[in-house]
Amino acid sequence: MECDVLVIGGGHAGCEAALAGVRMGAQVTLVSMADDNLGRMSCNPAVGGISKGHLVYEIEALGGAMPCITDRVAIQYRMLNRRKGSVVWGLRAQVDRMAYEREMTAFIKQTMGLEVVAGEVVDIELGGGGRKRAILDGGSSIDCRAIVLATGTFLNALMYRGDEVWEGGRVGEGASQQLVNFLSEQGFRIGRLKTGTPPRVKRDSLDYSRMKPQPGETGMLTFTFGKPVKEQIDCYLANTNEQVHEIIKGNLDRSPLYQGKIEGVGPRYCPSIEDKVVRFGDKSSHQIFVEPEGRESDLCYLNGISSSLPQDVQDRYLRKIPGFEEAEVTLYGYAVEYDFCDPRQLRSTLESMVVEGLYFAGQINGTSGYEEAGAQGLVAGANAASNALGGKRGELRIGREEGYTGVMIDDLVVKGTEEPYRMFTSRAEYRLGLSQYSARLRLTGKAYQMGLVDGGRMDEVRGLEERVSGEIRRLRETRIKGSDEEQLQGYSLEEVLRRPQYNYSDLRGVIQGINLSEDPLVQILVEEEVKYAGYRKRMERELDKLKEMERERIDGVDFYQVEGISTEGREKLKGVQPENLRQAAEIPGIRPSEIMALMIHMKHRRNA
Amino acid sequence: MSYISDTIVATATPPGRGGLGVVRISGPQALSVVHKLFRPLSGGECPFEPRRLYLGDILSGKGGEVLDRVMAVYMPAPASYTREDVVEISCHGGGAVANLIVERIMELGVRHAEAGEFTRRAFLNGAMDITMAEAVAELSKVGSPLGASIAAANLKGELSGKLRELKDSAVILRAEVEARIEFEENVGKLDREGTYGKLDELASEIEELLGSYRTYRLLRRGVEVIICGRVNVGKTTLFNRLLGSERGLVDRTAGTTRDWIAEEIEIGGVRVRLVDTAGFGLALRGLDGRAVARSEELLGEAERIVYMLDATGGVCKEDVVRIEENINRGVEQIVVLNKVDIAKDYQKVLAEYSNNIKDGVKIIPISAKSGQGMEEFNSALADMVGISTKEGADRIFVNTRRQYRLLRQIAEDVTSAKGEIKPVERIEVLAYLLTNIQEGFEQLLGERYDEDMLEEIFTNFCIGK
Repeated sequence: MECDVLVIGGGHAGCEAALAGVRMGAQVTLVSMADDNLGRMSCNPAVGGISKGHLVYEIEALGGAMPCITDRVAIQYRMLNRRKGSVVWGLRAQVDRMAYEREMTAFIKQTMGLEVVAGEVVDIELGGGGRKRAILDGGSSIDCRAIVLATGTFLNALMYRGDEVWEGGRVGEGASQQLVNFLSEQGFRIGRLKTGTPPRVKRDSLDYSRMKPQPGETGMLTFTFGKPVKEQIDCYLANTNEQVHEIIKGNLDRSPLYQGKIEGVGPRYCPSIEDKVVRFGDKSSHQIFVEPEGRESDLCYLNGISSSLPQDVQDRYLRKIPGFEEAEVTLYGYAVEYDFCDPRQLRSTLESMVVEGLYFAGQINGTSGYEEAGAQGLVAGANAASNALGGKRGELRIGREEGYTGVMIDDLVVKGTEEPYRMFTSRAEYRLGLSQYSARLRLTGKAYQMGLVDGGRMDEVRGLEERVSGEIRRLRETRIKGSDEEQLQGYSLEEVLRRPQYNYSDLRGVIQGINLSEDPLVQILVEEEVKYAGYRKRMERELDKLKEMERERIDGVDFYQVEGISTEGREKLKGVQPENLRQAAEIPGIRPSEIMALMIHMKHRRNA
Repeated sequence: MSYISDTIVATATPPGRGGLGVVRISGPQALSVVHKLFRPLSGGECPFEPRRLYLGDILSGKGGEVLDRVMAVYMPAPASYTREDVVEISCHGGGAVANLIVERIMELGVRHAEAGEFTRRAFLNGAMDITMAEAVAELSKVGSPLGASIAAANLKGELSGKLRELKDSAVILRAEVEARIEFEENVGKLDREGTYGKLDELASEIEELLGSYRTYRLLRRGVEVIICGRVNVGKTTLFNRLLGSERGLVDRTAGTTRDWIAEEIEIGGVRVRLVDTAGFGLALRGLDGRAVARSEELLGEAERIVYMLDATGGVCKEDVVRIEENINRGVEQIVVLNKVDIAKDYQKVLAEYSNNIKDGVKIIPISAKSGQGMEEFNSALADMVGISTKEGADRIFVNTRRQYRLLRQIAEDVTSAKGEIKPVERIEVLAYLLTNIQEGFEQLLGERYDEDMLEEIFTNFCIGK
């Protein structure tokens, strides 16, 4: 078999990578252990949330599939942070878990130029001229030019629950043991991480009268700028109590985490219930979000109490939770421990610096989350395709100021990660310039330039751009005369809108009968543009300085020849291989004086 | 040419006469070079154990004659000022001998250090943070003892300690705010009043630091105090008393001081330029006239004045007018009534002056000749020159323009941040400003990292669901 791009793994990263490759015009083959569960949601049945919503909108702007599939199978929408500025709003959709993977599998299978192969890649052979051959477990092979590794939690995966340990990256599925050998032989630095899942319970075994309902919301745009589905399903809020905590504390010696069996590092932002009880001993209660797994599904996901305690302990403490007295567990929580590759060995195209033409996306890079995986998959897939097609289409590189995707990738390749990396809005220093709603304005042009999205979509974005800038111009040119509000006399509508007390629709009260845009997207974008204008200007000035540092490219510098850098600093620089001076400056533990020394060295080298 | 790790040499003590001079050599060749020209008194090759002083001779290149008998000490990297290999040679006299030794070392292929290069290396090699490096630069510039002690305190890291403390409080505030953007469901709403209050505290701390820079500049530059009054009231007597020497000629004849004279003294650690002027009321002709005109010019620009009255005469209208003019101009002024030791009834004159001058200026009765009342006068003078000794001793000072400028920017951001809490809360903008405040402090400290804010969130909150 032969193709341009081979994608290994059929999760969220793998699916977006394969689809992006096809959109670029490449012949793509996707190898997955099973071919009927592509895009499986192994953890919570939800897409989006604070900062993750941004990633989904960015995937949308780059033509990815996650936003469409999500909107097709959503059962509830909520806008998190709604009372705050729209730049930090986060759209979150509860989705029908089974429907999601069914839709994604169908979509992939009907995509022309994309072939799905069920199997496990056990080895990769590197040929001349960048050619590669993937060897499958049955002995067959696939020849290709570029490979995207999106193996999720499957590399050397072990699952834990109490004293039980079994192999596999997801309950009921296997693990990939042999591919890691190839990676370590090539010189990839392998680390180990851990994640966990909560128990799932029968939906009709819970007493909802003892919980607080969390209904869905309407009146906002969906990920694909449509209207949310009318019939939404409620989630519920439950709480743990002292009795639950006592049971957990009494059984910590039976937790594989506290027995020291698990060496992988878990995420601090998503601790297991046993971690919460130990680390926050003074809290008498923790929240549980009870999330139905679908419209028809008879299951609920218990967000907030992931656990690897033994089955009997999970059973006992669950029943102490108000509303869970009769809870019937269908799947007990467990922890997964898996290998990942140090992402500092990647470029910002997600191509490895170790093996040319080999791209990495998703949890293998140390991240967690569907959205994080999908966004990386898209970038890796587009770049792998461009590379396989001869490189003339350029590279998809997203700057920190251009998108959360750019922030994430830059963080990964420069700083690496020691725990499963998750997106936070606070990681984005240009947060005030990056809203969910501006994703298309920020990214679609880039995608269009390299042929990742088509002209029709580009035209839509240009139209949006014009409507927004036209409306801002109009607000600037409209001055207030004879308003009811005396103190606004003589000001322009733009100046009024800049005041924190006013929003776009309030302008209707300022000038009676004024025509305002009815397009909610235009309304939000105009408001953001006007309200943050001063701060955005300041951010641009800060950005200019960084851009200057980015223009100082570091190619082929032998850091051991640079005087004035400590041995530790040299090793760090060598480990990261920063592409430019800005990246070098952001490596943790590198002193500003060492950056100065590096600058001096590069100047001398240029003059020599 | 190598630009960082070559070996450099310079005289580390100031040029000019002096009992001893220190020649400092820093860099990888420091020790091997010194071996070539230093002959220990004990004979043979000097063992140069780290941080031990060796007595010996420095030999000249030709003929090996002895240039000087010196003490030499070797401080291997990284336990030295520059964190490089350093040898220091203490020789006799400041200028000529030290220069000869430096020249001899340069003959052996060592480069003469550029101004400030030892400190630059210390900074580049991580031996000091940026505020310490700035303090070294300041130390070499300041003239007054108090200014020097401030720079020395900053060299020990007192300013950076304070800045780090303020930065930490900004990081904690930012973590509180960011937690509300990322995890409000878990951590609850922002305590607006509390956050506002903490920003207020931060603002006043920064304000104090900004104020300290103005004081520091005063200390560095020194201040000028002008003694004025009518002719023959005893200005020069006071001038001489403050100087502790007969610098100006004193005579009973009116107008002995024809032109102004100035001398530097030190009051409470502050460098003070004391100026004695020609008195008012001289004939405005010829040379005397010009001297008076120059004194008037000085007075017009003066910011600190000691105005002297005569207790032996009656109230003079001109004095009253001039004193009031000075008050109106906002001049800091000490009014003294001199010659109380020989006046018939100085209390009466004192009362008359007090009644005549509006705003009730305090008048200090003194005798510059006998020393009567000088204690009260001296303390008033110390107050006027800007800084009382006890205040200066334990305050932390900002001492460079860079620090001042960055702090000003931070202060502006703190003010804006308060405006984003009340009346309308815009938490995402508040977070942006707090980020800038944090980065401002990092810039001040010459460091940069990003992870500590998240660290803060994770140690203080139970996050996640």
